[in-house]
This record gives sequence, C-alpha cells and structure tokens, in this order.
Amino acid sequence: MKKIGLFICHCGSNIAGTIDIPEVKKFFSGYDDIEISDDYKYMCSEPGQKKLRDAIVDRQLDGVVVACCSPRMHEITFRNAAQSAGLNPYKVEIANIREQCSWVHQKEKGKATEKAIDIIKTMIEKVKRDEPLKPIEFEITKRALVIGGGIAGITAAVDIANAGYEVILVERRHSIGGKMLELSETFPTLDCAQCTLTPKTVEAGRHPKIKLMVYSEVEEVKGYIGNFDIKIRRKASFVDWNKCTGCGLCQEKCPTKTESEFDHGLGERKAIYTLSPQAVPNKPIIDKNSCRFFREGKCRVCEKVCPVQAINYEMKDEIVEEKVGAIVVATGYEILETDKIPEYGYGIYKDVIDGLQFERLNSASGPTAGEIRRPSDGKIPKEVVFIKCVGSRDPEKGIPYCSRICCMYLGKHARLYKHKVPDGQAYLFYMDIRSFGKGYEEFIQQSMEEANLLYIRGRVARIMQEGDKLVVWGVDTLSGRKVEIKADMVVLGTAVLPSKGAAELGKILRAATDEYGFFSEAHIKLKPVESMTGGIYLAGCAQSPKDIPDTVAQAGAAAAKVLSLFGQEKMIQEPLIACVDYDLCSGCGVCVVACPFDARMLDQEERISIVNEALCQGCGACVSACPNKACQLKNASPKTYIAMVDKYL
Amino acid sequence: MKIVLNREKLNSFYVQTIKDISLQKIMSCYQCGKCTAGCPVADFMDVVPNEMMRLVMLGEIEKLLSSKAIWLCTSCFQCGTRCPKGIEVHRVFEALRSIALREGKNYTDIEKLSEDVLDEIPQQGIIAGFRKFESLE
Repeated sequence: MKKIGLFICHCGSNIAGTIDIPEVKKFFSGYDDIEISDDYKYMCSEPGQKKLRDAIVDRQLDGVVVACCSPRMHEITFRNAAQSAGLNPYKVEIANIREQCSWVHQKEKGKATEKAIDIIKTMIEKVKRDEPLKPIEFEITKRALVIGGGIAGITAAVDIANAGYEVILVERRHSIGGKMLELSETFPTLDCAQCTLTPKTVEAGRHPKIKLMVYSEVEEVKGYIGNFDIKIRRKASFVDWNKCTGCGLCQEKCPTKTESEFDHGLGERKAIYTLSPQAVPNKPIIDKNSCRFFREGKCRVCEKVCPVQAINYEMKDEIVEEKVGAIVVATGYEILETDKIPEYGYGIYKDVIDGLQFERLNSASGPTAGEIRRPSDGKIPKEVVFIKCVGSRDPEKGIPYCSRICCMYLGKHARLYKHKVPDGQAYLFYMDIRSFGKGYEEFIQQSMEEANLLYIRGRVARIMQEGDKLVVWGVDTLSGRKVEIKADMVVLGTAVLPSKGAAELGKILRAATDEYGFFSEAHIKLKPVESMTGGIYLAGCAQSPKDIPDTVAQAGAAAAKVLSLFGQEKMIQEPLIACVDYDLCSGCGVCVVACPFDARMLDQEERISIVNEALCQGCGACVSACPNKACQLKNASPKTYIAMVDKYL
Repeated sequence: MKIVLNREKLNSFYVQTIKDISLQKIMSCYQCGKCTAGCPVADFMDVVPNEMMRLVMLGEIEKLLSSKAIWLCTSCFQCGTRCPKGIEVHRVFEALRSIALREGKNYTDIEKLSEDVLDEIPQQGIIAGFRKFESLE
C-alpha cells in the first residue's frame, strides 16, 4: 500500500469560493492509499509548504498530490518543498483545480466540486505510478552568439565578453553600428549619435573575446540551450579583408555610383564601398548588382589601384560552423514602407521624406553635410510639417501598435531643424504626445516653449503638390478647425516594424515571433528578455519598438541572463523526457523524423533508436509517432494514463 | 472654416503684440483646459479660455478681438493661478482687450448710458468702461 498525502489549497477565494473544500477533503479521508487529506488557505505560502514537509516526514509519505493552481505556477515550489523533506520531487503531482475547474465553473458550484474530486482522483493514480527521477546534467558550451550588430547587439556582446566569455557577433551589413550610426543626434540630450556609439563599436571591434563576423548571416541553428550548433554564411565581399588596409583608394577611383542605402536614397555611394566613414571594421565590399565588372565584364579599376592586391572577384560565400551555448537576438527594426500610406505622396513628391532620411539630411556625414536642404531643389525649407503616427496606431492601413519612438524623434527633428533654420516654422501633427522616458516630457515642453514648435492635434488627411509647395490638409481638433499648410518639406514619422527576415530567422532559431514578426518574450512582465525557446534571449527592437535607453537596458539584461546560464557548472535538465523500450523498438526511425529538437538518432549497430537527453524537451512527438509504442515519456506512460482515465470513468 | 497656417500668420503683428503685452510664453500651452475648467464665467463665454489660448497659438486673432469673452473675463486670476505651465492666462485676455481698445473696437460711451443702467452697473463695470474710454484718448 502507498502512503499518499493530499493537500487542497483554497487560493484565498479563487478555489474555495467555488469548490466545497471541506467536502473534497472529507471525500478523500480514508480513500485508497491516502494517508492524509488536508487543506490550507494558501498552500504556496511558507506555512502551507511546512504542512507538506511535516506530513512527508511525520507520516513517511511516498507521494504527494497538491490540488491547487496550474503546475506552471507552483509545481516547482512544491517539488522543492518535498525534496527538502526527503521525498523525490518527481513523486509530487499537481491537480489543477483552479484554472481547469474553479475559474471556469464559477456558476456551477456543485458540479465544480465533483469535477475537482475527479481531477484529484486521476492525479492520485498518476502519483502511485510515478518513478523517482533524477535531473539530467550536461555540459554547457560557454560561448555566445549575438545576432545583429546594432547598439543592442554590441552592448550585449561587450557585456558578455567583459565577463570573460567568447562572443561571436554576427552582422548582416559589412560594418557594425546598425541604425544608430545613421542617426544625427539623439533625444533627449541632443548629443551626437556617432560620438556616443563609436566608442562602443571600436570596443566591440577590437575586444579580444569578440569574434566579429560582419557581412554574414545565420543560416542554420541546431541543438538546444547550452549546446547550439550554428552555421553562418559569410557572404563574399570580393575583397580580402586580411590584406585590405582600409585606405579607401578603391572607393575613390571606382567609376560606378549608385543610391546609398546608408543615406536612405538621398546620397550616392560607389559600387565598392564602406558603409560610413566610421565603419568598424573599415573594410569595403563590392556590390555585385552595381559593379561594372560584374555587370558588363570589364572595368577592374579597384583591382588595378589596390596597393595590396586585396580585390578578389572569384571570392565565394563561405559557411562557418560554430558551437555556442546561448544566443542573443538583436536584429533591430525597419520602418514601414511609406507607400503604404499613399495619401501622403511618399515616393511621388520628392520633398516628402521619412524620419531616417531626415536623420541623414541633418547628419554631418550625410548627403548635405548636415545642412537642412530639401531633396527636390536643394532649397532650405522654411515651413516644415512633421507627421506622427504614419502607419502606427492605424489598424486599417498600418499596424495597430504604438511605435514608441516617433513622438520623441520628430520632436527632436523639429528642434534640430529650428537650430539650423531659426526663421523656419515647424508644425507637428500628433494624436497624443507619448514622452514617457526620463527627461522626455521636459524635452518636449522645452521644445514647444523655446523653439516655438507648433503642435497640432490631429492627423493629416492628404498632401498635394502645388508649384514648389506641398499643400498639407490636416485638422486641429483642439480648435475643431480644419488646417491647411503650404509646406516646403514634409517629414513622416513612420511605423517601426521588425527588421526584414526576422520571422524567417525565428523559424531557423525555433523561437516564436508574433503576428508582426517581433520575437515573442517568454513572459511580458516576468521574462521580458527570454524568448519562448531556452537559451535564446532578446534585446532591442527585435522584441518590440524601443528607444536607445530601453534597448541598452534590455541588451544588458539579456547579457546578464546569458551570464547566469554560463555561471552554472553544468546544465540541469528536467528528467521528464522520452525514453525507449528497447524490446519494442524496431529501429524504423519515425521518431528521428518526428523530433523537432533533433534529439533522436538511430544506433546503427544495435538497430534501435536512442534519445539525446540534453536535447529532448519531453514534447511527446515521438510518442505519438512511434508505431510500436516503444517511445514513452518518463512518468507519463500509456499505462499510467489509461489507469488515470479508468479512475475518472 | 479652415485655418490656413504659415509663418507670417504665426508671427503676425497681433501675435507679437499679445506676447509683448502679456509677457507670456504662449507656445508652452499644452491645452489641458484647466483654465476653462476653473473659470467662473466660462459658461457665458463664446470663446472659452483654453480655446482663446489655442487661437492665439494658431494666429487666429480677429475672432478673439470681436468676441464677447474678452469682456466677460472678470480678471479673477483663477486661470493663471491654476495653470500647470505657469501661463498667466488672464494677462493674455488683458492683452486682447488692450488691442481691441486700441483698434477702437467695442467702444462704450459711458456718458450716453441712461441713469437706470448706471444705477444697475457694478462698480467694476464702470471702471472697465472708463478704462476703455481712456485708452481711446
């Protein structure tokens, strides 16, 4: 005979308000194998846990059922309590009578009590058959992969590297710095973005623990927390960076000019180019699509002028394999393609530009060397309209969420514009001014007072060209009047979207992304930097739109999570995973295909399937796939479940 | 009717004069409406205090100069005392009144008022009347 203890939690009135607890307790007093049936107001509290511990010791219990909330909440609490009293923690089971009973049956109290009794009955059957298990230990590869070399990725990489662990920093473009390097000045302090960022890029570039892999993309990820196998595609740059000294002669002599992505189409670059004057690493690539040699088969000017013979037109993409224990996803953002809002005429009217284009106009390294000149004719615009919420908070045409940064950056733009064009007038159309950060509200108010910015509450309905002016039709809902402005230039504060390819990367990483392509956090409040997949952490706009302070804070937090993983001597894994009954296994290999974690393989000699305990997550896919019922989950065998169902029926 | 906005209008002579007379940072108003919420005569005004502030920001002064509201304002200072941005709204009202008087708008010839009216009119009204009168000299 077994000696099982049953503990029923009231959860205040969450359970006790619906389920008749004295009745349940009475039902199980003297029930088969039940040594003690007890209840308490809050089982998870310290006195509640003490009840459980004391009963284990005093009554020599060999199993425990706690009837309470979901096992996701307190299974770990009660298992730890049982372990401290000398009972194997896997001999503790939760009967969920809150989420699956009292909460959903509040209007049928009698039936809820009956159902609670049934739930508890089945879990008693399970505990009776549970085996005592030991957690599995395995080694951790104490190296990290950071995907994305913007301010988020750089911060996380430097933080992890400073703790003494190796970091591979992968960046899609050919130098790090990300979007922040494109910005002119940053709110709320109006300090130069490059000046704040470049010390960081330089540090990442020459940190002995950071392996920089620019112009590279993650192509394949296998394995699981603690042990990932990564394949990274190093794209062909056609320049041997080991030889290249970054002298810039090739860029100077290259005869082909094309639109600069870095300047968002407002400036030009050569076919062989570095991203910016402060590029880290300061090495060029050849853009195959614009290079005259690649298009027409002749030119080779860069090859002729290169003093160190670094040009190599034959270079091929290269696949690099790496092993890491943790991954930080810091893939950043894009802005909404503004042609989605056609009434603003972006792409048709040259002087309707987006926020990032304004950053380049205002930047000393930009196409106008920092002078505010409009794209169409280079004139200094005297009336400039800034429009917020272009695509944001617009469920019909754009996205329903708030992009969080536009209120501040457009306020900053308007203020910087006034610095450079003091006799100009800035108009800002807004729906709400969301200035939530430290010093932000003060910044906005100061801008209104000192720069005489005119904030107009309302959206703009359309923009039309009239001569060299842009006629803006808006509204001022504060005075209830329609507003018309003949502007020289319009700047759109477009919605923030996840960077291109984020959802695809999510699939490669097996990390969940939301409907927009932002990476999903494991818990919005309590696990904001962990992805839903173990060992993968999130930083910056990869998770949701963020400003620089929040991005840096989250990147630091992600690094801390990686370090707390690396701080463990061994990885501890739940033993509730798959196992194989070798007598039944025919070695057909169906489980190998079914396993989403690559945890199954065939032992060729024995002709049976085996489980990689480090990789198995206990999902049960193999159990349902196995034709011979040879695959089973520990403590969840079909026999156990049939016994549980039998008891219920 | 729509408002056409441009630099000239936002920095017009009227707007500049209002700023000069009132000495207030008009553009720092964020339209919370607390001035109107506390105004004891807002119920009777054709343009309430926060609306008045908004129209000054937008350079729409004509409507204000011919409004009844600027004469209904009792200069009780509630608006200015309550304003979270420290704008003395009553001074903006006063500036509007001064401009109206300088322009000869809303002129009251007190001597032409009947004995009955003068008996009824409160002392403050008479003072205001004289003030208007004097400013025309």
